[in-house]
Amino acid sequence: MINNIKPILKEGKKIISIVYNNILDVDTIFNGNNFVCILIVNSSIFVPPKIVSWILKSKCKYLYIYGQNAEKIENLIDHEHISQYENFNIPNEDDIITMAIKNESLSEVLFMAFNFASFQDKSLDNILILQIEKTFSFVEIDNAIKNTKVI
Amino acid sequence: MKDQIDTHSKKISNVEKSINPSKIKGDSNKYKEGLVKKWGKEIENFQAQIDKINNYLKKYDK
Repeated sequence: MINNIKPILKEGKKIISIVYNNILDVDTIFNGNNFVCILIVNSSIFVPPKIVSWILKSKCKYLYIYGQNAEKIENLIDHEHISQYENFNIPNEDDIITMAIKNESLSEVLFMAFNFASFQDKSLDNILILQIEKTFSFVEIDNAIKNTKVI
Repeated sequence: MKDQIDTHSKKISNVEKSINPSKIKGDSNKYKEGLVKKWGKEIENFQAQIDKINNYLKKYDK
């Protein structure tokens, strides 16, 4: 369970920011709705299997993987995802769009997540910022959220 | 976003480079088809995002 996590509300968006260290219960905070996940991997080349498995089972529909080794981690997550299905054929309702981002600022990633992430033509208003290790302080994340425009 | 489309297009044209055959449990041709289908959908999504950004920029310019 996530204890004492208060979502940030900003112009129709609900945002939560956590560092992974426990079992997640994001569904409760997002009322079981689809969400965007910004997975901050920094220089990690490894994402705990528990996180990958949780993301693939969750209502995450758009996954930004952000950090130096984002592309390798994206390949790994794509592999895990398609391997779950018979004939490696992901049903449309289980799709997750994955995008590896290496050189943008956090604000730029947030701008994309706030304004352009969509799933099957529907915008996604719940955003989870999930850090594998503490790359950004909560103050830095708060400031980036405050300074990012929702258009 | 355009870089993402380029990256995904390159992956599709050379799927072998993105996979480790030892990790595939099952028919490797179906595995490749599954990846190509996934990347194709992502390219469509990225293109839609580019269109949205261009529309936004057009409005912003006015």
